[in-house]
Amino acid sequence: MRRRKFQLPLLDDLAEIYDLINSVEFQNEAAVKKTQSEVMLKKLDFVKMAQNEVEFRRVPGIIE
Amino acid sequence: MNWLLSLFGLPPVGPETALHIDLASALIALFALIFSIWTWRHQTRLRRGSLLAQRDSGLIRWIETTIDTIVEIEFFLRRRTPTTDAAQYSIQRDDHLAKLAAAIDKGRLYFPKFTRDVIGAQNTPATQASQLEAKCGDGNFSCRFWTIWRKFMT
Repeated sequence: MRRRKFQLPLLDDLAEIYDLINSVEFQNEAAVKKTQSEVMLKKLDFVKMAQNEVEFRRVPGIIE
Repeated sequence: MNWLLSLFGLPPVGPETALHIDLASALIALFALIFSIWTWRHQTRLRRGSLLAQRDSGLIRWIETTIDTIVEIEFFLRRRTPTTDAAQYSIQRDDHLAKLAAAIDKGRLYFPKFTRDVIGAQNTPATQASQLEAKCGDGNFSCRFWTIWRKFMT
């Protein structure tokens, strides 16, 4: 079912990625690695939610 | 009407004939009305579908660009080595942050509100209505009514 309530966590994921990159300690290799894995998880989350957002296009009969 | 028929040599119209003509006219008008409503509904559905398709085409383009940006950031972090220059790293990081900030701002076109938004939290209509309600005081009924109405509408 399509959600149309204009308050999706899509942008929240992006804002969290922004904060992660902005606050990462470049000198600390472990922190960079941790940020990298967190960014990857956020990306997967973003892609999953984006798929849900456009999934209805494959449902026949909604747009004729 | 009979005088018109007599011009063409046709017999005069009786009460039954007139009733048949009236019924036929009413049926044709009814069918026309039904067809018109059906056509209007169909056109409305098509127009709505077209608008949704346009909106979602834009949304998909934005999602694709944003995924590109996130993947660039991911590989930017992966490229980091102990010998990487800090200044160069900072410049590249700022470039990626700029792209991400642009993606967030473009995303506002499709999702005006989100939880972690730091811009405009004080300027939403609901917040403005609450501020106005606080200014009204207890005695001013008209002010309170319109404030509550505004809050309800937003």
